[in-house]
Amino acid sequence: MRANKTSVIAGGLSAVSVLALTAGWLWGSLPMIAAGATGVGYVAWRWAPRPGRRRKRAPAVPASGAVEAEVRPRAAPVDPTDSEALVEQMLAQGRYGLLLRPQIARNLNDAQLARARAALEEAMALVPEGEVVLGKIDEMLDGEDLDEEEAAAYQGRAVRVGCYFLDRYPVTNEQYYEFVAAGGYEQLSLWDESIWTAVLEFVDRTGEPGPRYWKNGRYESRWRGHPVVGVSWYEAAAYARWVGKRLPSDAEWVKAGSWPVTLSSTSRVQRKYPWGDTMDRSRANLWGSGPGTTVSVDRFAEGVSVGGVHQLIGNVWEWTRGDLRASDLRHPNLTLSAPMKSIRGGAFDTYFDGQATCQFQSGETPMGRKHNIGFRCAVGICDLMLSKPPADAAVPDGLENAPAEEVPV
Amino acid sequence: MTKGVIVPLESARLVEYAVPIACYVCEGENTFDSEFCRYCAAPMALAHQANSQKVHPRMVATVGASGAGKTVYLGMLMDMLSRQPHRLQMLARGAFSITLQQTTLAALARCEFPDKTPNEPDRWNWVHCQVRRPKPRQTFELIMPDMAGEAILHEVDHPHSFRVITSFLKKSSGALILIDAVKLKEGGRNQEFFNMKLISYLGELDDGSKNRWSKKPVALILTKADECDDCRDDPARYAREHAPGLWQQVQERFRNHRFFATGVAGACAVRHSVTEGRVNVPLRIEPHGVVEPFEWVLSNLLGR
Repeated sequence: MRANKTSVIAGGLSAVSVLALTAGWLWGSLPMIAAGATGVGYVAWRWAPRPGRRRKRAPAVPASGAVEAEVRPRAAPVDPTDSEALVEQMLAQGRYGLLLRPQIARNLNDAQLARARAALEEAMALVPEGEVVLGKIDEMLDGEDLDEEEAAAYQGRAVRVGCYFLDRYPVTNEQYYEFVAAGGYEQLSLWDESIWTAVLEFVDRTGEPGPRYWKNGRYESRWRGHPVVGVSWYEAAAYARWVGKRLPSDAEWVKAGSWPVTLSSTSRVQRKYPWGDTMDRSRANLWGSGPGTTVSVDRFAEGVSVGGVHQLIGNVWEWTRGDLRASDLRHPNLTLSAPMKSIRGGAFDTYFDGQATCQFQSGETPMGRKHNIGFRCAVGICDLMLSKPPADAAVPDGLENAPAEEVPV
Repeated sequence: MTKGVIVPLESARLVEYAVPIACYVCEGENTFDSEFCRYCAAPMALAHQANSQKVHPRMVATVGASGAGKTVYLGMLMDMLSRQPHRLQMLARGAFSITLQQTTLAALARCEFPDKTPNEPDRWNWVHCQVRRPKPRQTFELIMPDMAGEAILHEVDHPHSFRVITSFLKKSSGALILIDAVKLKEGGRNQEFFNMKLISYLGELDDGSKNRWSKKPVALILTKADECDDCRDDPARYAREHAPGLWQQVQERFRNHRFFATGVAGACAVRHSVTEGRVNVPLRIEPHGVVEPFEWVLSNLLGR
C-alpha cells in the first residue's frame, strides 16, 4: 500500500517535471527549464534504487524491534527406507536418546552407535544410584517457628533413586526449535491423550505452534542459547518423548544437585546448593546477581554440580514429572486451587536465597506457560543400550519410558 | 497515644513544654516528648527529623482496598531499592522506618504474606527515607505510611473520621493506587467501586489551590498480576476491560496517570484458617514491576 502510494507520487512528480522541462525548452523559458531539471533530478535522487539505501530498508524488523532467528527451515522429509539418512537426521536433531533405545540401537551399525553414545556423553551427565532426602525444610527459613512435632515432620523422607542420565544444560530455544520444526505439535502420539484438545492452544505470540514468547513459530536470534521458556508441562513432556527421554522425577532432580553421600544407614551428607552449603550468588543467575532475564545456558559455569550438571540453581525453574502435593509444603491445612506440577531450582527473578536451594520445591499448574519456567530431560540407564548385546538377546517391550527406580527407604 | 509522664517542675522542662511542636502530617500542636500526634496519631519522629535536619520530606500516598497488597508492595519496594541501588537508592531514616521492610520480608521468606495492617493509626508502619537518584543525581526525603485498607475505606465513606488520612492525602505530592487484579478478573465489582470512591474522595480534597490531584502523578498499580497474564502484558487494557467505570473515571480525574502491573508471588496456594478464613500462601517470591511505578511517580515529581 505504502509502496504504491510512493510510486504514484514519484510518477506524478516526474511527469510534472518532464512537462515543465519540455515546455521551457519549447518556449525558450530558462526558469521553466531550470525548474523542470531540478524536479527530474530530485525524483531521480529520491526514488532511484541505490544499494546503500536498500540495505537499510530491506530487513523486515518485527514490531518489537528484535530480529528473528535465521533458523534452519523445516527439514525435508527423509526417505523412511534410507536408514543412514534417518540416523543422521536424528543425530542432528539431538534425538540420540531415541537412537540408543534397545529396540532401535540394535539396528545401528557400530559407527552409528558410537556416535550416538558420544552425543549422549557430551550432553548428559551420569547420576549414580543411591539415596536422597526429599522434603527437608531449611532451618534458616523456619527459625524457632517449628515445634518439636513439626520439626520431626519436616526432616524429610529418604528415597532411593536408580542410575540415570540428566541433561547437563536446560533445553535451549535452538534445541526446542528442532521439535517445533519437525512438526512436534502435530504428532499427537507424543502428547498425553487428555491434553489433545488443548494442544491447539499452545501457540506463540503470532498464533503459530510453539512456546508462548516466540513469533512466527521461531525464536529471536538473541535467545538462541537461552533456555526455552513459556512452555507448559505438557509441551516439556512431549519434547522429552520426542528426543527419547523423559522429565526427571523430583528425587532425581534433587539427587543431581545435592549429590548425597551416605555415611551410614542413618546418616548422609547432602549439599544445599550444587556447589556446597553456602549461597554464592556469583554462581547462579538469581535476582540481583544477573541481568534480570534469562542468560545463555553456558553462563554461570561455576555453579556446576559435582556430577557436571549446569544451572540447576537459577536462570529458570525446571519442570519435573512429579506432582506438587499440599502435604509437601510446610503449611498445615493448605489446598491447591488447581493441580500443580513440581518445579525446582529457582529462576533469574527468584528473590530469596532460601527459595533457590536443591530442596526448595514450588509448583505451577501444568498448563502454565510462564516466562521463567523451562526444563531439562532425563533418561534411565536401564532404558538405554550403550553397547551391542549378543544377537540372540531378548528385546524389552515398549518404548514408553518408566522413571528410574524410586523407592522410599 | 501521648506518653503519660510526670513532669518535674523544672524551668527548662517547662520551657520545652511551652514550645509546641507541630505534627508533620496534620500540623496539630504537640508537646516535645509526644511519641504520636495527639490529633492524628502520626509518629512525631517525622516532625523531629524534619526540624533537626532542616529538610521537608515529600509525601507519597500508597492507597488501596484491604488486601490489595499495600504492605507487601511497600516492604518489597524498600528492600529492592536498598539491595540494588542502580536505579534508585532508598536509605531509611530512623529505626522505625525499617520495621515495615523487616516484617514483610521475614514473612515472604517463610512463604507467607505479612499480617493484615491494623486499623489503629498508631500501629501503622511509617517509612521516612532518603531516596537517591543517580541520573540525574538527586537526593530527597520521602514519607510513605502503610495505611490500613479498612481505615481508608472508612475514611472514604465517612470523611474526616481518620484525620491522619485526610491530612496526609491533602499534603501528598503523588499517589500509588493499588488495585487487586485478580478480584477484577473474578468479576466482583467491589474492587472497582472502592477505587472509584477513592478517586472521588481525592477530588473532594482539592481546596482550590494549584496543588490539585488532577495534576499530581498517580500510578494505578494492578497487583497480583502474576496470576493474570493478560494484565501483565497490557495493564491499561486490562483495566479498561475489567473495570471500565474506574478506567473512565481515571481518564477524567487524573491528567497525569499511568497503569502498571505488579506481582510478587509466582504462584499461590490457599490455607484455611479458623480465625482468618481463606488465606493466600505464596509458593515462591519473584517480584515484577515493583520499582517501575514508584520510579515513574518520582520522575514526575522531580522532573526527568
